[in-house]
Amino acid sequence: MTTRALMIESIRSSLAKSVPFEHLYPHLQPSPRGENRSLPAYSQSDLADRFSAELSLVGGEVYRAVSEEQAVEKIKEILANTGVKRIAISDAELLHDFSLGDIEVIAEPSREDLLSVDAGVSTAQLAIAETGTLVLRSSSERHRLVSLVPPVHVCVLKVGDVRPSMDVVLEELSNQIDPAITFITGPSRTSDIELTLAIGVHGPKRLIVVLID
Amino acid sequence: MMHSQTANNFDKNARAAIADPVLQGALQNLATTFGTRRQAAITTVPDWEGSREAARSIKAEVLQNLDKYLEAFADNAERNGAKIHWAHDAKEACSIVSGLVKERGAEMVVKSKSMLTEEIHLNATLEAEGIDSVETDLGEWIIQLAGETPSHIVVPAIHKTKTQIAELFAEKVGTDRRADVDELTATARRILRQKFAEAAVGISGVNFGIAETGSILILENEGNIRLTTSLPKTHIAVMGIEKLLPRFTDLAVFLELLPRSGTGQRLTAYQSIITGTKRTQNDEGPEELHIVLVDNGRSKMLAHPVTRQSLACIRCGACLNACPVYRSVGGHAYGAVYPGPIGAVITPQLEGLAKAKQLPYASSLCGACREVCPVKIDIPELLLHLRAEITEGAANGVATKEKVARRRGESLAFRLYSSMWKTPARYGFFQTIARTAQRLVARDGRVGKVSGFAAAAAPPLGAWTAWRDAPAVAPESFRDLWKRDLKSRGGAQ
Amino acid sequence: MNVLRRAGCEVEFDERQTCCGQPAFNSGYRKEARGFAERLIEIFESSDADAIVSPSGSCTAMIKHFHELFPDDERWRQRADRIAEKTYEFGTFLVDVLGVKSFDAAFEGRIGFHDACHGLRDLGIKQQPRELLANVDKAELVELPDSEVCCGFGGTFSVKYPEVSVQMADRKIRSIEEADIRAVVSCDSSCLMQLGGRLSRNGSKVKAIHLAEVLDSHE
Repeated sequence: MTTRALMIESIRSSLAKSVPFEHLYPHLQPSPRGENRSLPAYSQSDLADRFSAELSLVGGEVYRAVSEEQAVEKIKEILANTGVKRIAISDAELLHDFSLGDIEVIAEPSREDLLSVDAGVSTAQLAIAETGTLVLRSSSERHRLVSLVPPVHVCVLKVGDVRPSMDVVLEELSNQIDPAITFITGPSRTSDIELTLAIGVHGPKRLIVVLID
Repeated sequence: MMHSQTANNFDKNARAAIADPVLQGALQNLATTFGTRRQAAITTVPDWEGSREAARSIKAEVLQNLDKYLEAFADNAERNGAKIHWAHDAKEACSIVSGLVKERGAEMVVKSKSMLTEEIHLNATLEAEGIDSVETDLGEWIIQLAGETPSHIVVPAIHKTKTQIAELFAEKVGTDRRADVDELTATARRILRQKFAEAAVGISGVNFGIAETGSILILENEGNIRLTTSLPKTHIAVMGIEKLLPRFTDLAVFLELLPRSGTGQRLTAYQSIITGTKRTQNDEGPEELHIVLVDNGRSKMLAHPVTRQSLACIRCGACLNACPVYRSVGGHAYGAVYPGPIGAVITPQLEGLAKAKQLPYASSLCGACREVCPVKIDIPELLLHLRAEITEGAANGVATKEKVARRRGESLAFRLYSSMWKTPARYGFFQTIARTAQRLVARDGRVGKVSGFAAAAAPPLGAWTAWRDAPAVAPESFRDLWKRDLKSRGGAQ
Repeated sequence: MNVLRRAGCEVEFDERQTCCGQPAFNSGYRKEARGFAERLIEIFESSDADAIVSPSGSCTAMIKHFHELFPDDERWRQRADRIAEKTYEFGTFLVDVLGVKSFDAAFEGRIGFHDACHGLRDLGIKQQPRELLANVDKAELVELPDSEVCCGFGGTFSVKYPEVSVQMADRKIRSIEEADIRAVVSCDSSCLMQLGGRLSRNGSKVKAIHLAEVLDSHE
């Protein structure tokens, strides 16, 4: 017998030995699996505002722009102010022809590039208003390293892609599950030392989101 | 300070822990901070109790049909390109992992935090095979440098002060001794970054496996899990067989409960949902994904509904934070991989009652843990179940057939109490004896410190009165009062 | 007894009773515990009283858990449940069943209430004692910040791990002393023994007394 078969058999025989659950806990009705959980109501119109507020609460920086052009300008402005010299970008459509004046833009960053640039720029496919979360999907964009390795992550997001809650997002994602889906809520953090908050452990120290209306 | 690392020394370890002022300070910090944060986080959920019940029922469903869900998970994961390995016990699991690492010629691996890998002692096996296994979670890296084990499920180095950590870093990696949290964190980032870049293999745990899709979800705040699972060419994920959910959308309620219960956050900074390997060569990420499914005593826990519920645990650590005993003694006192209330119930089951016979008694049964458990595990009920197992030596549903040597003295005492208090006559007789005997030790209605012969004859009396006065047996018992006076005063007034 | 009579009850005490068996059950001696339960059930079955009232939250909780002692015996389980249904903790009985909250009692000074674990978590006792104490003349009820935290008794736990047990008591006593109260009140005599024993050993002037004593007090 394979180990798989042995382990499955071990599970089956344990379960078969068991006193039926209802016998011991007659008062615990089997309840529908999570369907009756009450969820809060959301209004579509303030999703972007809610998203901004929540992400700011956990240390993200959120800016608004009315167009893609303005978003790019905004990014230039922010990065120029922080003395950034080299950035890496993802392969998102929106970032094609992305240029930032004197700042060097690397479109297909190698590992060495990623480890040495000052910032990484990507987009996000979805976002969650309730928690200020970005959702990045690997089938749409090469996001995994550019959003993680450099000390600053700049992320461009369309207001129309913001959803109210995790429940809604998971439902949407379940229709087509990418090999890698990453949820990002703020910069990297830890409280491992004396429960004192420190920002920027292994992931980015700064998360900057530009929301396009 | 390292306590004796066995679960049969709780009494000695607890004493040492209480006498350790540094530890006491850290525990005080833990109690207040996590308590407040969790409370605040819960208010942001409209129906917290409803969510707990949903989570409990989902886990009950999975565990009751674990064979089906596990096979579905394995098949779906493999369909997506993952390679599934089956490990019946710790030894097998370690052997599989070290085999995979050696086959790939890796001499160094990066590892993210996984209580399961602690349980199976993976690092020890890897080190013995000449493989440098580098912990990358800040708390885990700290204790790895210190040669210690985690004292908490979520914040492994909570027992250490920043000064101690600064000393440790100075000694092990040559930094200066400045006890500044940001600087210490920056040191970890700098040094571990190198390791992420060089490692050919990344080893992680799994928070949830999804049966219907073969996906795994891993959550974190630091980013080391994302680095561990996306930079190296090979990703090995070690997963307990109980860590399953039926459907992808079931993640919603667990992502609502786990971060709030564990750290008082609405969501941790990162969640990664990984489903198989990359689809094209051009994609990012590892070339290979290996998922090692580990039993190590879990399947036996399915054999009784009371013990089965302990498999629902999502390792949030809330029970530790709420437990007044944990708050007094910290994690190392339990002498086991998993400390606190959940540790007290799963350690005897995973390692056998004989190896952890004190743990089920290391609780006042207050129920604070049951109140905060996001999946509603009734830990006090489990503790009582294990206590009955220990005293009656039965093997029903527990992961061992070892008979634990009955505590002769205690067993005798309980049989005596049972027989002495069987009838009011004997009960009254016992009271009279006590009333007489206490003349030796009672003053002003109290019994002070009892030592010497009296304490030896009745150890509980000695243990009680070492620190507390005991009430003396009343000169007139309630029964006497009733007979003499209260009965005749008749009914309602 | 006095309080119940003043509330209008006819109270009887069956002298045949001894113990609910909780110490045995909590230490894992289920056979012995079952013996105690059977006795108690038989004794109270012979009474035609409308309710069984206990001054102890943990004993009441034990009675409510009696059916766990009879996993294989449907008949005994039903008998246990019938007794459990009409068993009440003292404070709960007064407030929830009788609806009587005031007893012309007087107790001068500040008092803090300790929520005993079994009462709080098994029986939902929280508001009732506070309502009763609020109606006591001259008494000033203050809320202790950690009123819901375990006192550290836990039955044999208190003597198996006395250092831990005492440290748990000491944490509560710190807030008790800080609250500057005359007495800490509870519905469980085990908690009172634990806190009172430590307070007394410390030479504290704070008393640990039962809710019934306060309600029967006239000073």
